[in-house]
Amino acid sequence: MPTDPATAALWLVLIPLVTAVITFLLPSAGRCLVTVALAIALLPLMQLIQYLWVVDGSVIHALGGWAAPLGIAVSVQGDKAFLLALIWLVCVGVGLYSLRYMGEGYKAFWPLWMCLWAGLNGLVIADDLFNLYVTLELIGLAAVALTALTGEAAALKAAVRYLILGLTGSLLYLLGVALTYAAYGAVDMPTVAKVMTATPTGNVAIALMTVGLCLKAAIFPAHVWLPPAHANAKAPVSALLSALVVKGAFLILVRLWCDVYRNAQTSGAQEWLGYLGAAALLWGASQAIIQQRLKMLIAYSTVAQLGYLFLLFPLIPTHANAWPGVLLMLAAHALAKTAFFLAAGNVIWAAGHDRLRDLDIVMPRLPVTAFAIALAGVSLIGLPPSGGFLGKWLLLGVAMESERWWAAILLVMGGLLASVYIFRVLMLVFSGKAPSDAVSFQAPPPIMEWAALGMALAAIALGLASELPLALIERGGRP
Amino acid sequence: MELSKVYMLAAAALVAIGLFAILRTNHVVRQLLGINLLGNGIFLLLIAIAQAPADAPEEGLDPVPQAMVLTGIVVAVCATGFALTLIERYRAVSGCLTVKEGADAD
Repeated sequence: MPTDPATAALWLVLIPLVTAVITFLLPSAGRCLVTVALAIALLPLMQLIQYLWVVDGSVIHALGGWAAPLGIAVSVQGDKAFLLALIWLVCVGVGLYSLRYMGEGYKAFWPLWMCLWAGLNGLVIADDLFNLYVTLELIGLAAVALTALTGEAAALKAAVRYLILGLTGSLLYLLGVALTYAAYGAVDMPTVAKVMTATPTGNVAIALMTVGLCLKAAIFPAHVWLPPAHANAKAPVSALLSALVVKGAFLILVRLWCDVYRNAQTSGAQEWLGYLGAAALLWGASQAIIQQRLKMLIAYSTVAQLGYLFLLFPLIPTHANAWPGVLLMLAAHALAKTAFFLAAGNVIWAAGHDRLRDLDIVMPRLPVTAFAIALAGVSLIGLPPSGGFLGKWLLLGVAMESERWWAAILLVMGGLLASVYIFRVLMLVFSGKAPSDAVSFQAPPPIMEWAALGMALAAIALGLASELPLALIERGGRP
Repeated sequence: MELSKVYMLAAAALVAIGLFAILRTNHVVRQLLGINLLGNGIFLLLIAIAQAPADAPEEGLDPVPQAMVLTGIVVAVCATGFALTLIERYRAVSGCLTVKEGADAD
């Protein structure tokens, strides 16, 4: 195992990639190999966090000894380590669940999931615009394949739509990267940030990258592909897609606007990203309220929650509390949404469908799952003491400080709208209808119910023990 | 006109045609062809960027954009192969090659 903290970051990409290859060759051993990989990945992860904790610096590694700008650099600071840990935690929850949920017919799940994990870790640590393109494609293709896993017509249709939009988005991003190289002669992010001046080529480059990434991040009005894709996938896949995949494109956007193009006189465009967030928040939540299927409801809730992340986008570079607030919102949403989708998987396992109006006779028989949905809901609405509350609290402070009253009002209103769709689900538990034997009911395995509850508890714990993650995010400074 | 300018104009044309195809049609294979055209336009742009400026020909070719094109081609081949497989499966199951809006609710 690694002794150098810089190579520890690379192990976090290498371990899932190697596991992906082996599980592809030995599909029957997928379960064991993935479990082992998740356990091994904890070592470099702990080493990174421990290093950042003690040294309070940034870990930079030049691949193959070639320093940037010619070589490819990766770096880890506190906020990146926090994200790596979050990805690992979500993967553990999904993994525990999938041990029982993913039957023999879904052997392709394990290698695809490992590719996705490798891509996400790579995306977090990469410091190079072109490298980010490669990780985006790796994530995108794995995510589309995972969406299509069931082979049903609806899932395939959603996957094809997702693929076309995803490929278009990543190619627009690549076009922007090519123009960035033409304008500044580098694709290494710190180097570009240093030589950045607003030129026409550079402005077109950032515009193209932003449009491409908005398509991938499914921000309103580019969200149309998300609900069918997330709702028709298998439950663990939906959880991975909603919790992590859409956040990848968002993270690149943040790094572009808040680090690389920080000095450009283009704050007007950043404001517009904030307005898009506001629109996504209202549209997603109101669509979630009128959905007839549980998984569609959860998928639209993701559209709304992405709105929160974009809402205070223009303030991230200038307000100290904005970035930790956004990261906490992101993490709380990732954990709560994983719990929610896994719980929905339990409901479908038990009832055989997810039509909300017919679930009132099934939900009362799934107390652990219902509890998981309730706790996840607490975080999604933003009630104390959850992680969602804390993130929202920090963002509310930033909104008030900058006198953006519209953003503050939307933050509160988003919580109200979320409570409407969460209570639509929770009311089913207390329908008072006696469970009848006439309805087919298949109890989900306990590990699946507890995996969902564990993720929901993690979202609450993020709020209760927020000092550790907040301190970690500050380590090594902003890149 | 110097060669890199010709390349750049051709790249712009390919990108425009590709984007037009993606936005204009509902037929997924045509959209995929549009995506390929868009990709090839970007690769051609990178090749043009790699050309030495006309006033300093001794600088030679810049290898970095060419390395990007190589990586890009590998990604494009994989993505196209995967996309065609997926679209073929979709056609086999649903019997159509379009993905229209709506009708996703159930």
